[in-house]
Amino acid sequence: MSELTPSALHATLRRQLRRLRLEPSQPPDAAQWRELLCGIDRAYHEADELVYLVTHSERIVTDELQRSQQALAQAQRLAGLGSWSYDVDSAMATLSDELAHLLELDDAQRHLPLDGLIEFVKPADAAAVRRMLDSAIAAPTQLAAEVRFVARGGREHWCLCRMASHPNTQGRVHRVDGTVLDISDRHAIEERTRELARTDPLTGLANRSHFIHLLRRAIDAARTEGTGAAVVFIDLDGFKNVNDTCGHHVGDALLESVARRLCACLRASDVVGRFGGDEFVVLLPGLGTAAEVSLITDKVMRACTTSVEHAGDKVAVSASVGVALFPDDGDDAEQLLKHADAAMYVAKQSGRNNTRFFGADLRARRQADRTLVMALRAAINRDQIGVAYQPIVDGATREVLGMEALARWTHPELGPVAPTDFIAMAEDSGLIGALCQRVSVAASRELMALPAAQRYTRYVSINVSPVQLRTPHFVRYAQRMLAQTGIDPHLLAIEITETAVMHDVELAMRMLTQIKALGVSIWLDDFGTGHSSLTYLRQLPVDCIKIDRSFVTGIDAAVAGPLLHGIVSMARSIGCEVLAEGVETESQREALLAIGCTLMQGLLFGAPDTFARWAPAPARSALTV
Amino acid sequence: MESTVLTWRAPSGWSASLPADLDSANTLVLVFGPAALDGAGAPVGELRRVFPRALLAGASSDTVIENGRIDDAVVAVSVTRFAHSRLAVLRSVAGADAFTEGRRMASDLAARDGLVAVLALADGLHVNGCELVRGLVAGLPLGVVLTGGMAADGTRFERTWVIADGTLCAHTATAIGFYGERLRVHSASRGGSVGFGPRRRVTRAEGNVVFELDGRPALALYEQYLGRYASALPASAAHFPLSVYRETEGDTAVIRYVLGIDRARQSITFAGDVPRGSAVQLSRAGRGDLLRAAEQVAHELDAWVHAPDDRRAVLNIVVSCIGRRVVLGEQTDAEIEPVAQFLPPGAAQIGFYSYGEISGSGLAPCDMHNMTLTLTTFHEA
Repeated sequence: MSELTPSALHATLRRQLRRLRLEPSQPPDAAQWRELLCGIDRAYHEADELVYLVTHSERIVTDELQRSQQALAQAQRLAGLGSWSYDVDSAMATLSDELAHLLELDDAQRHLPLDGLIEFVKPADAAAVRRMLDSAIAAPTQLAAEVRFVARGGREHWCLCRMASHPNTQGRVHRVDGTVLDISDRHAIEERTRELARTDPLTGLANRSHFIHLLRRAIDAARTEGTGAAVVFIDLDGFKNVNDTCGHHVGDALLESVARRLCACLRASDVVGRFGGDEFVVLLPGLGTAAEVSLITDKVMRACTTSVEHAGDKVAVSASVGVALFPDDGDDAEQLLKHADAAMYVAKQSGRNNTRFFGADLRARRQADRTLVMALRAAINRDQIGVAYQPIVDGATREVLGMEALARWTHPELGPVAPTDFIAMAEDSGLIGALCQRVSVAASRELMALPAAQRYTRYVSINVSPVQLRTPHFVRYAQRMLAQTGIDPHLLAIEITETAVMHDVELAMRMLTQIKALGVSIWLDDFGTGHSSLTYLRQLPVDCIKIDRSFVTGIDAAVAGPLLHGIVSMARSIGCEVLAEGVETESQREALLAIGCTLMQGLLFGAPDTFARWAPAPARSALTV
Repeated sequence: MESTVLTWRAPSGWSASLPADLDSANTLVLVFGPAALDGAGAPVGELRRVFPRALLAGASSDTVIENGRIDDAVVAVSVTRFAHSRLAVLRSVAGADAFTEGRRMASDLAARDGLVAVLALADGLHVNGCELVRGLVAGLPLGVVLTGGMAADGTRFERTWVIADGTLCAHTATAIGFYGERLRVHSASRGGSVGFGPRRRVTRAEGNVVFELDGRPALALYEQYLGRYASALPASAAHFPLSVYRETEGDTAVIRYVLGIDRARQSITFAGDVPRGSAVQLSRAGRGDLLRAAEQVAHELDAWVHAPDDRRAVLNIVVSCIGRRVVLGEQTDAEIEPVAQFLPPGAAQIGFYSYGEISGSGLAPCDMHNMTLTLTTFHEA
């Protein structure tokens, strides 16, 4: 053992001796010896404790870090979240497992220079990524952007990249960390959503809003370039028949094949759209003359002409085509579409399977129609709509029981306008409600003007347009009218046509039930010309059916045919009255009486005339004709 | 200025005769001794008799420092008579709000001209040291040195006391003001604990009691890390004090020492607030790191007191953490040795192992720390 000088001893022992005020060469007394041993014992224990705590805590913290790394890696794997860390001083980036996996890199390639990582960014996005990195390195910040990565195998991924830079104690950025989340699926969904918002799901063609958007763009371009554009409106002839006889799946397949053929026969710059049902539209940018467009519409007609086999029969489909040209036929998208539609309508009216250009004559006709509509509106507003009354009689006694109120309009310059013409015009232009209101109010007032005693010897029937029956406010309107005029609803009947009811049976049923609840009678007009469905007739709250004049005209030698006979007995069986229209001869009257149809209307009893003409004379209780 | 240090131990008594001639209105008598002293009280009573005009202050601690040595079960006393400086003392209302009392004492001391430094001592178990320091800082003008520490009770954590204006009492803080143009006061502090392992979030805590870290019982975490030494909790927790980060992202942390545990509630009581939601990390207080920090702070002291012409008297107050005492164990002297080495001959050194060191570190505002060695020197120019 070397000499026991204080400096040769372990510092701990030296301190212990000093605390006991002992020199190494001086033996301790018993108390000092005990205290020295205790101190040495404590020092050994402390050393053991420190070694244990260091190794034990190292093991635990290593476990903890490993578990946390595993949890992070697992979470990143589940979330598809890759991450990277860039060390500014070494200019090297380290990629996480998940990012390496996304970029299809193996373990050896996970540590790479920053430029090496940027090489995996799609060239179009690389400059933006570089700018982000530059600003992240320049000063502590957080940034995010959506960029495309191209994996080593060439697969492209849309990724959401976030990065945050960290300063060292001097404030200089020494590390940039980033995450990369693959959002390719979300991008695909967004793209699909945008696509769906623009297209018709069945055919993949442009839908109405997208077509109008493209049409506006084409109009702007044509205006700038001084060229033209054409809008072609196509309605398939006979398509309803295909749907009705072969089913919707065949109809859908037909629409798809027409869409394909339309696209195939047009230029890539042309746009084909579908507005629903069997309505297709084509935009031909740059074409401004009818001659140019005709070449195309011929192809369009051929593309739409086809047939479908069904149960051994062929169901043929063709197209009615209308064309409107920019700038001649309109200077905005809405007008061009409206005019192409109108031209198509004329094509359909004039025998289908042909093409009509909107052109000068249609333009003139539309102008004339517009002028006439304006005149009609003015006439309604100024209360210039006249009402004529045709008597409804008991055919046996010829006693007048009631009257049908009929609208009459005399144009100040053109003279009397045919009711079929101006009523159709009123339906198209939304004036029908006001027109019917004029008639019903006028008729009610006439009745109310009669002395109370005579009032109940007549009733009035008023025609209700199918358009009105589709208006949800119709019942409220009727209630208001009754309240305004104060008329007893039992003196009124409304006449509706079968077709008006068939358009939406449920709605009609609901409305008619409510009207009937008001006390107003309901008559079915023109019976026999439409569906004449007995099933619906049973369900409808109908009080009387008016047999169409075509049945009465067909009465031969004072004998009613079996059909007429059948209608009368059927109506009776369900508790309906029957009224025959268009009775013009004595033999018709007799034949009708013979089958039990006593209510009649027609020139035999009187043409439409003033209310007073058919009103009860003050002196007499009844008028016979 | 004249300063001397002596000790008292039972049953032998004083290490030297008490220097009664140093008694004056500008004399500070500091007393650091075992918590059990409050029962005996003999040396304090004697000091009061011998130094009737002097300002008597102190704090409990089982381990005290006197002139380069550490000693257990000893009362260390310093007697310092200032020649050109004046003193004032204030005490808090026992049990009152620490922040309010701290601010009041600071404002009152600062109301007199020439305040240079404040030495604060407080009951380490019953006064909220963090709040006291916040209050003192709030009430003091810039440039006034604030130093001091929390009274301790070794690793028993049962009772602590301070001597406030000559009276030994609990639940109380005292603040001594030092005034004078020629008075030079320096203070510095270093820790040495190093954070390791993951940062954790405080998910349940009330004041200085932490129940859960990352949703897991805080006590279970300490027990896991201490392994077979878990049974020696709370003392053994000194090896792993808690770093409490001021901001989620930053690296500025205060170290919190474990004062107590509650096995039933699975909670840990720290020597300072650990706010819920804050980020924390276990620290490792390695002997090497602690001693390196002690050397660094000793070098700072060297710069203050070794001016070329300096042979004047110096009072050096050392406040070290009880946690350092636990970790350094038989080598505790090693952290005092470098300090003593830089003190001029004849300097008086006194100190104690505390439950919280009051000091500023570097440019950071004054705070209550744990696991640090805090040095303060007083001398007159």
